[in-house]
Amino acid sequence: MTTVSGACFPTPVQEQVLRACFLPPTVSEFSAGGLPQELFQQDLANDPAAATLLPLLDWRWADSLPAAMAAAARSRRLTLWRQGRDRLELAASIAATLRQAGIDSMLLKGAALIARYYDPGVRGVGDVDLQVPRGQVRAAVEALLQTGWTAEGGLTPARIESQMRARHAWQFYKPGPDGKEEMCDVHWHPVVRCYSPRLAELFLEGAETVTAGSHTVRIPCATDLLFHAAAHGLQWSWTSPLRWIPDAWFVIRSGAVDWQRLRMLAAEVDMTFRVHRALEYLKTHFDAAVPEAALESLAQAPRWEAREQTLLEKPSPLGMADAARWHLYNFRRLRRFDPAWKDSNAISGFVSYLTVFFQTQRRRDLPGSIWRKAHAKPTV
Amino acid sequence: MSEIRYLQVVSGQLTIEKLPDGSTAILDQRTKNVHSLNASATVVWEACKGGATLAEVRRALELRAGAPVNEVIAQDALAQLHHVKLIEPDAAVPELRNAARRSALLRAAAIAVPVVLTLGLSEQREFALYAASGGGNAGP
Repeated sequence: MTTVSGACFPTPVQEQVLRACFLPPTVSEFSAGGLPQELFQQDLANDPAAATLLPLLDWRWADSLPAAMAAAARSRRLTLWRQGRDRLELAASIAATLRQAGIDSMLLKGAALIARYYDPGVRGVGDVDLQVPRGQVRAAVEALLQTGWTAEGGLTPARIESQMRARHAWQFYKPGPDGKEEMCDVHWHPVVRCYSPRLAELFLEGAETVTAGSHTVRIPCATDLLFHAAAHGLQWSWTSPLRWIPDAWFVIRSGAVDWQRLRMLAAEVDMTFRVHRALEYLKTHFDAAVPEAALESLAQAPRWEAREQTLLEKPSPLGMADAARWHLYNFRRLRRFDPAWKDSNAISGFVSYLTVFFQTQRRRDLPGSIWRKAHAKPTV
Repeated sequence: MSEIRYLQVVSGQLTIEKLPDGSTAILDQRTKNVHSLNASATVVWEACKGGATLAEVRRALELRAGAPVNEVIAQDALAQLHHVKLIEPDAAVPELRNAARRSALLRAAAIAVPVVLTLGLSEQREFALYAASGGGNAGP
């Protein structure tokens, strides 16, 4: 069995819950007598991962849960069901706004996953993520700003365009009907740290049209969603992105994954090691239906990808040295796709990258910006 | 009481989705409440689609359970659905009595007892997911 560590993977208790939800009754150690009692001594309802775990427990074990947990699990799922409908409605309205501006968009992540792969209410959708063609980002930003959205940091379309060099998406927000802010991320790269323009094109070319409730939306194909779950889930994050596991599991369950395409996507963005690690973990821990041949085809990856992965699995926050290493790897990933940085001296190119990433006007302000970010606490 | 007919409330303000486990989720735009009807409560609610008496509801539950069902269980399910305004009786319903005996019967029931879970707006906020994925700011 794969040994795992770091923030990308669940705690032992979380993993026990996930195994109880995903392993088939013939394999699961929980099949005979139901779930072990010690599981319920954990305060799952107040676990930060409760939004992921409780709806899954309701989906798999509704009638077998102790009364208090059953009510919490069903309440969480019921709320996520309602939120999911609202988010899909919001996503469809944003897509319509963009379409009126002549922009074809595609849903990503949670909204895309609940549109086809999850049973209702099992997956929460915190915000709406959309991918637009790189050449239409500015028009998309302008369309959003004209319809009441505000860009994160109050950035203008021109400044967001300048950020496109070093980032994969930008966030927008506006007041929602329940007093909380609605969030929308506009992606030009579908996945964080995947800077190949070809990957973005492949995602858009592979898009499928699905009907979800009363809405018709475009979402990535199953293979692209699985790639997204693995590549996004096993990155370093401010918060433990536990939900990549059920995301990937439900997509694999659909039986619609093209494993050759998955390998091609991973190779395109130097994430062969990461995707292999994710799939091997899913197969060994949750009996996910990953063909051996698919694992074998992903087994050979450059060593630097493995070294990077060790860094990405460290818990939050990273110290100064590791934050610097994170940026070195990030620069390595995007440099070959940036015309100016590709041909520049590596050191001056890296400093230039940092000034863009940290939005600093002067190079001498960089150390302070890096220090503040490395020691910041997550806000979400 | 047995002649009272219970009728499902039909409204464009209700968003209804039956889930694969046989339960039903309902969003009531009139009140902003959301309801979850477990599989047994769904049987009761669906039985009331064209109007049903207590005896007919009880039979629907027995058909699903494949076993006799105490009238109290059907009565309790109708009361829950009426309380959250998902069904309406065509006459005044007498007050249910002997709460202790009713509770004991419900606890001892051999079938999954019909349960209607309702969340108001404040409870929905408590269970909602507001976390954002971080936009372009994903990095240390």
